[in-house]
Amino acid sequence: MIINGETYEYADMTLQRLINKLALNSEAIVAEVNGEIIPRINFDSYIVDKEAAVELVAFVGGG
Amino acid sequence: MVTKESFEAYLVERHSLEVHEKVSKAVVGIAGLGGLGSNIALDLARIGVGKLVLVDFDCVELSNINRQAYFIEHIGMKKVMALEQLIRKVNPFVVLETHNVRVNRENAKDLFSTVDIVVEAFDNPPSKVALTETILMEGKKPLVAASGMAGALSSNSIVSRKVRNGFYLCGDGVTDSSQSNGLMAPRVHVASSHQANMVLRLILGETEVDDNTRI
Repeated sequence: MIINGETYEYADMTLQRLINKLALNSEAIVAEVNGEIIPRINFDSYIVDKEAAVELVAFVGGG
Repeated sequence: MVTKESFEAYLVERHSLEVHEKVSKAVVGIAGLGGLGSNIALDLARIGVGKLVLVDFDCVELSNINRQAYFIEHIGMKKVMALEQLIRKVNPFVVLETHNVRVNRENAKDLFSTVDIVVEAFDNPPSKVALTETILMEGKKPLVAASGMAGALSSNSIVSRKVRNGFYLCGDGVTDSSQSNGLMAPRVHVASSHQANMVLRLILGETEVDDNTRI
């Protein structure tokens, strides 16, 4: 799996589980898997393939 | 008294006819009128953007004055109204559409249906995510968002990044606002200026964040 440009040896898992594994806050994440935006409501059901290219944008507060 | 003709002529003289024709036709939506959005709106009005769609549900508070465009006299006023007053002082002719509502997944598409470019200028991450998801999933218009501009860390750590086609992110990406890293005008303005300049670049047809492809 490639996450934000880095290779990880992860098996298939839900997007939510992947976000937890990376210790990220899913409320602040915009996720793209293989070029497709996955909405937050689907994080629990969406399975990320072990070969997938994942981009996780974690927003921090302030504006 | 500044007439519309003299105002247009001065912008053409300053920016060139080619630039002014593109800028004056552009319609930009700004979601959130705090430290980022209020300053971005003023920047875009100053350079003669044709129309701004401004959305915020909040009122001006004393705690805003250290970084937002508002004045003490605006405290208690709706941000959309206060910002309209300020914009009129630098550009009496820009078309303004204001909405005093909270942006969410349900109304975002409609609120910004007429714009060419959407600016994400909220302060809290869930709102940033909701708008970003909605605009990117619709896939019709570019989004210029921001993340990470608190404190007094280096200005040079704030960058514009193209995350994917049509999605630009300005900021240092990591510095959350906190007790030790408050939001303050200088660094918030570095980020808001990155966003405003990215919007201008998109208006002029430049879709990259670096100048390698530019003449």
